[in-house]
Amino acid sequence: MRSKLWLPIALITLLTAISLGGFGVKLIRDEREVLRHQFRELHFARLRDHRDIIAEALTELAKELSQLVAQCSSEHTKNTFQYSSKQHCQSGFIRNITLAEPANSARKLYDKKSPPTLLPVRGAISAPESLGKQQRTTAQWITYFSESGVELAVSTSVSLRDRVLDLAIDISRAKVIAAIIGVLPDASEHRRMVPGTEVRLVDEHGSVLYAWGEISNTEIIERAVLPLHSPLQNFSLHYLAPRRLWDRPFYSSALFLVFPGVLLVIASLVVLTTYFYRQHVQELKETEHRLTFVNQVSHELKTPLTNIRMYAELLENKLKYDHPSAAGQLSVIVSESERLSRLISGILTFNVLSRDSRKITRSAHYVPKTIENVCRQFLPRLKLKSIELKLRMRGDFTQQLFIDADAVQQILANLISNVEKYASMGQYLGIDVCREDELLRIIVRDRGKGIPKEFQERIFDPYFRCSDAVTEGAAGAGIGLAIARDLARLHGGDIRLLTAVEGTVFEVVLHAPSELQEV
Amino acid sequence: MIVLVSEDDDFIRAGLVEILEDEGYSVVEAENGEAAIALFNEVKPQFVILDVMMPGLSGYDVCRAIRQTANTPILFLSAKAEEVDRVLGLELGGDDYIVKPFGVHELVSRIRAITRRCYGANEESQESGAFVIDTFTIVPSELRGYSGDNSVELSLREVKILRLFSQHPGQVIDRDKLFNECWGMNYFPNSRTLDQHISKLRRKLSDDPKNPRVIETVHGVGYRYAPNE
Repeated sequence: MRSKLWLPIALITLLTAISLGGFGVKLIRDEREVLRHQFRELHFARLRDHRDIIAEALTELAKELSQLVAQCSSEHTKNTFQYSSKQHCQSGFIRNITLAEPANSARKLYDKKSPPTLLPVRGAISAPESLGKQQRTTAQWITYFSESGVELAVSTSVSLRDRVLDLAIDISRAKVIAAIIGVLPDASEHRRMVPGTEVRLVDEHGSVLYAWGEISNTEIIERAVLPLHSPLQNFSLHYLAPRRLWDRPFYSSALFLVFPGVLLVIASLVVLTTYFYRQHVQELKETEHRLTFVNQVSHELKTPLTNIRMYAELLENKLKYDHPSAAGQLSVIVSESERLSRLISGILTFNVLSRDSRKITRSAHYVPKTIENVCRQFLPRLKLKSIELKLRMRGDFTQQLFIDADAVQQILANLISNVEKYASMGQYLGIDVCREDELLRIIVRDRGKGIPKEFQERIFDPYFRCSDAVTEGAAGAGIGLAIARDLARLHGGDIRLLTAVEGTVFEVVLHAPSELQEV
Repeated sequence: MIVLVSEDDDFIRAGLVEILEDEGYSVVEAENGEAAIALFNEVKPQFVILDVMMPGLSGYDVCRAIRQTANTPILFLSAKAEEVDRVLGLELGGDDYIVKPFGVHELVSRIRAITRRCYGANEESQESGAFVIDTFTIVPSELRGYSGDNSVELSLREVKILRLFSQHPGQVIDRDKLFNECWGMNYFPNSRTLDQHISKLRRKLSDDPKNPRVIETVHGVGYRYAPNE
């Protein structure tokens, strides 16, 4: 791949990664925000329920205390308010009662700086003349601050004969808190509802007055804080729960980790694809170089060979009728040039090109003619070595069969060449060609020394030779039988060594249909 | 029939010219692709032989150029024997593909086969009809002679020679007439050329060359066709 392409690819990959990452982060954050908001609403809703319960309880308490004070007064017909601390303090709520100042008085009843005027516990209050008719007010809570903190009182009115007294009933804070706690759920009830969580009632100092629920040892955080209504607006309810997924950083999310994982996979795929692409391109280049080399070498070798063969044949044609002996010598040149051509083709094709790229091309041929062409090429050399050639054709060969004539000729040529090189002492070469339906069976036998048993399994291996004798050609190089077997298998058949009493026998089986079926 | 031969190797080109002229064809030569295209446009041959690997324009390029204007039969010559090369040549418009080194007989057979396929009747013969020589029926359009179950392949020149004999049965045809009629007025073949062709014909017609009966030699003059009486 050109170096200039790396930069755009890297940029594209990086931008894609950043976009995916950003999208992932936003997605996770949005999702968490939604969850956080939804749970927040739930928590606040629960706290609001409890707050309403507390407010209702306080309202009822104020009413009860007001009624209690009113009941304690028995002199409605007089302008005297009689009360007994014993009765008033019966519930333990009332600490003291304070007479409220007239509305137009400059003195405020509850002044933080000066404590309220305390009335004697027992006695009577004569309503001062200055008091006029006051409007009757309902019981209301009043909050004031003292050294110990927030104090509570209930403001109420007592009706006398012709006037109304406004009183401030000072309430025990502890009693009020106890009353509130009484209306709140206990631990067992809350545990059933929301496991692993806790609600706390916290005062103005941050001290936990009461808590219910059950929290585990896992890390917990405050989910919601809700102040109570008046008069306890300085108190608050706190909702505590364990740390959830959305409380952790977004990069710790398993979902977020998916994106880096996906990016890693994509990056790995890109790297692998690039690597294999480069390897493939490299192989293609090498194959192209090899092909170019083969083409060049083929052209350089075959051009003079073409001239040798062509002119030898021209001369042979001219001389064969008038000078048969000269024509015979020229035929040697022709056959040797054919042999040289075969050797060049075999060696170049086998050694340089990938064997997987070899293919066969079928066309209609008369098999006897194809076989005879090969035999004719070897006749001069066979004659020179006194090798008797016996060719027999058995079966119906009147019609053409679809074969790759070049492949068939090369198979046979390699086998005949082996006989001529290694089995000439037998002085015999028998070729039996038999047609069996769509199979062509060719038996090539000689009467030479035969192939030693220890070599018989390896004779089809490339470059294997039974002897180290220096012999030229493809057969001498040890690739003749390898090529023959490859071609036979491409032709839908095979070649094998048969057991023989004398010499060597090869059987070639080829698929040779009479009609070509489309694949 | 005019044949254009485009081959960069001088010897191969000369050899092809001799083979084709022996067959009875008129031949024009080109030593590269550019010259081949120029010659094709000028001469308008009826058959083209192209070497694939030529300097400059390859045989494939020349084929493409020819195919733009004509359907002249084209035979490729090449040292490249791979299937892809053959297929490429045929896909580009070639009619056949022969691999170097090739046999002369194979080359001639392929040319005859393509000619038969493309030109049913011989353009140079005034009569395309069959005629009889001895026991053979000569079919010019097929460049073959038939006698019973036997058949022989004939070159164009051989057909011309036999036709001349069949038109003058029993008459002596002198060498000059044979040369002029069968080789053309401007062609000056070797004096042995005629004799070699006659020898070849005698073999094909199963005429004993030592005691020829069908085509008799008239020494010092020419030859005579003696029909089977």
